[in-house]
Amino acid sequence: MSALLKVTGLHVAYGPARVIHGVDLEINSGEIRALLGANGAGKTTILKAILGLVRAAQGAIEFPEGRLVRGLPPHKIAALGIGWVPEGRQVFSTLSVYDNLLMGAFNEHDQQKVQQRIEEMYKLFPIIETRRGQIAGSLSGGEQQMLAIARALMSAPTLLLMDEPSLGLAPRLVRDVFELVRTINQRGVSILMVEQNARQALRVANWAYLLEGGHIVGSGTPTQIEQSDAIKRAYIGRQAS
Amino acid sequence: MEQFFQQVVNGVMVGSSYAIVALGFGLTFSVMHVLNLAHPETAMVGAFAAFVVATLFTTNLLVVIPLAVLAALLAGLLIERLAIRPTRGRHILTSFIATGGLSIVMQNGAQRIFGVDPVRVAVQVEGVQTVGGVIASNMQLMTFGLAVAMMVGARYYVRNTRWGRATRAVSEKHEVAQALGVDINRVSQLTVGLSTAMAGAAGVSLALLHSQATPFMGAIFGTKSFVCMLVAGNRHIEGIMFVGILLGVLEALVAGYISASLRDMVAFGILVLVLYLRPAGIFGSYEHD
Ligand SMILES: Nc1ncnc2c1ncn2[C@@H]1O[C@H](COP(=O)(O)OP(=O)(O)OP(=O)(O)O)[C@@H](O)[C@H]1O
Ligand SMILES: [Mg+2]
Repeated sequence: MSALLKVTGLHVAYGPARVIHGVDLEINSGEIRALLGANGAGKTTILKAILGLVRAAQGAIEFPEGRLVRGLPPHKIAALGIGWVPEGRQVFSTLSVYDNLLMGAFNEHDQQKVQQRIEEMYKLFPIIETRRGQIAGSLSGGEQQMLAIARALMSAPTLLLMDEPSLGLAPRLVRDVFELVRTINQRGVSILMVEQNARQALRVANWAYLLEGGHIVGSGTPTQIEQSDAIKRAYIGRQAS
Repeated sequence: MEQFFQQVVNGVMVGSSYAIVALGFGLTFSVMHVLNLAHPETAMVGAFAAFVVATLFTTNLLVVIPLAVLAALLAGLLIERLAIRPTRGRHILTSFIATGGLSIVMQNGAQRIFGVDPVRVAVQVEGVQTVGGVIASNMQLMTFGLAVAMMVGARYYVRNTRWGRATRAVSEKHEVAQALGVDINRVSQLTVGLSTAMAGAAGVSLALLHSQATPFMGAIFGTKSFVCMLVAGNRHIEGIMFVGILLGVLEALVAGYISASLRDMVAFGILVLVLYLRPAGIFGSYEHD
């Protein structure tokens, strides 16, 4: 069986600045994998390349299970079943909470399904239901993060790309978010998670990649990664928690 | 007093046309982040389409107006494909050059085809309405109604439809919208199409009110509408509509009470004043994200 998502030899450049140098990574159905690395390592860029938002200079991206998607426009890639929780939430701040959810199901034409998913999201995030008529920009940071996750789930993706979901949240909320990652995964969604919060990420992931300067410098089970010198050098050493 | 109200009425009629051109300018800018300098030329296309239809086929307004709007819309889609889509996401000057170039091509193309002199658009609508001594011709009222219908339609589309919602999403965070499944090229087409259809409606209105069309009519008209957008800010449809109509009224008052030759200066006077006092426009900001 081939991987759900498989990235091989990915190179990405912003103009003359080459930032991703031949990255390989993959994720199988049902897994949670973490992509760890310091600021500027290229984590967000890799996610955007998978989503088709930045052009890959070289390499293959296969999703789902062997279908080549590199070069497809982002909306076509999304339609194959990839959800995205962008870095810094990025809710549509001038749209209502409800409209943000509807945007998540943009290509679902069965209104019954859309309503059903909205109900599911209200169950998963009760706070969102109470705020549904509000402008999303008026939500607190934590609420916006929940909305960003709910919005991504509205398309019922098979793979969820999460970019630093715990960024800027209070410790209790950070715990909640990682708990949520588990819950979502148990519902059958595979997750590729980018995190600065390496300790927590390694607790929920079953495999992790370590990115440094656009190169994968290590990969393995959480235990292997935690014990590697690479992570101490590149990453955890600088973390307070 | 009667004369005052008469000027106000005249101003509202013209201003509603400024408003729908400005609305299109603002819509295209806030969604695609491109300043479409060829936008006013689509009003000119609408005016000449009205001339062609009225001269060759029929003066029935139910045919003339839709065909003129359609012509402007098609011109808009061509502009979108040639100058807006390829320049999206690049430096704003790139789109300036591309759409500015097209604008020159369109003006000179029209001049080649129709000549420098104004052509006569011979469509009559008989009758006037009088309320307390203030007169509005049925033609004025008809073009005003058309502008209002366009504004209401645009507002409904943006607020209440699926693609309208996607349009607002793209305007705010286009990458996220795309990753949620929105085809940004479709949004681009819809936005520019709607914007230029409105400009076309304004163009045919002007052609009908003045009974003429000229190749360079887009220039001054477009500049004034552009001023409306700058003055209003690009956040609120209502704001742009309000400023458009206000400009029409001020112009009519200046022309009526001071001198008709000062009319075209009003817009620029207001622009200087507003940009000095509130650089982001009266109703909102030019910033994104
Ligand atoms: N649009 C862009 N244009 C030019 N360079 C960019 C652009 N986006 C990112 N970069 C550069 O690419 C490199 C990788 O950026 P990226 O955002 O992928 O890092 P990251 O690992 O997600 O960092 P962080 O943890 O801070 O989010 C950085 O050096 C960054 O400056
Ligand atoms: Mg990042």
